[in-house]
Amino acid sequence: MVVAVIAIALVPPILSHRFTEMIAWEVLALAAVPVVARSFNMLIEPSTYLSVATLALIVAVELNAFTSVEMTSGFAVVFIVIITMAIAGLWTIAQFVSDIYLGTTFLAGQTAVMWSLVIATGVGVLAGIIFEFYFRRLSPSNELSYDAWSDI
Amino acid sequence: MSLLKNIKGDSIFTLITRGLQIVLVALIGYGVLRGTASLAVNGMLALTLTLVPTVLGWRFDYEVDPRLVIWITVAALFHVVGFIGLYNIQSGLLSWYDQVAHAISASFVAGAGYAVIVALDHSSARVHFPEEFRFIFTLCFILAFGVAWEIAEFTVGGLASMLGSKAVLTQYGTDDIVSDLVFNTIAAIFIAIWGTTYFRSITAIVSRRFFRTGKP
Repeated sequence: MVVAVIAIALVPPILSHRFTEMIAWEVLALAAVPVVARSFNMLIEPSTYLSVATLALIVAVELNAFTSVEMTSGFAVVFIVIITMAIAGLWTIAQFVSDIYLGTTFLAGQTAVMWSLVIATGVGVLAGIIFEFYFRRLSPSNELSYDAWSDI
Repeated sequence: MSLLKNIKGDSIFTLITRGLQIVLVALIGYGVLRGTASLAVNGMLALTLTLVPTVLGWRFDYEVDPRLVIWITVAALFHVVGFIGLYNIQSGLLSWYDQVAHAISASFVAGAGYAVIVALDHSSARVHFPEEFRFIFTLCFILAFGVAWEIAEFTVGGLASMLGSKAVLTQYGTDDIVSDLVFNTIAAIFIAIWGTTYFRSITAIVSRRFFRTGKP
């Protein structure tokens, strides 16, 4: 996770050849929350998915800026929720496979599995809503456009 | 004769789709009459999803590929027919029905997801989704939908046990959840490959290799 945060944070300065080109610090700080949470051993699962959602946001912004993909902020929010849920699904499959073939015990029964999927979805949706407000209110000069979803 | 002349090409596909939708309506009716809530509820959900391409047509003035629409409708039908009793068969000739139906119905959701993103791409100048992005998006969409589906099953199961009634959707354990998710993913990969030009370029590469034709 730490590696992923650092790698994605380094994309803008490398691709634009300008060292000052950076992801907004608030967003990066949010992505780093689980690292802190883990060291205090609290709220590990929700904070991990918060980080996944934030990474999805950064990926969305970078796709918009550096590739031919163009998206509106409304679509970006949907994209973030979808990516967070998809990662939760893949993570469940990975844990299951590991439990069977590597003898680990990551999955503690059906109810526990379901609750972590619920948490992931909840955090994804919450993060999407927060980002939408963040885009609109705090950073009107952001690259993504805001009212675009309505004209689709 | 003039009727037959009018129905050619794409409109035949539309006619087949409407026919399948009528079968769906009949199944919903059967579910309601027999009091089989799972059949009726799933039938209505499936019917709604098969109408997505039509709604896209009205809303965005974009016509979804009629073959994709047929695929969506067939998959929906396959899923709903399972509720007549085929899902509960654990052995014998039809014991594979659950897994196969899951892959097919997942591909039908993937098809709907793909149709939505293509329609968005075509209808607005403010978004642009290249093929690679559509591929990834379709995959993520179906994975996310699978998670949402499991949560729905979990919620319905929880509510049913609170109210002391029989659940409309059922979960049979962690194995079932994971195998659902895996089959979803497999189906999504197929749809994503089929739907994007990845498929076209793969065919081009293959035909160049094996037939040495000048044109891809």
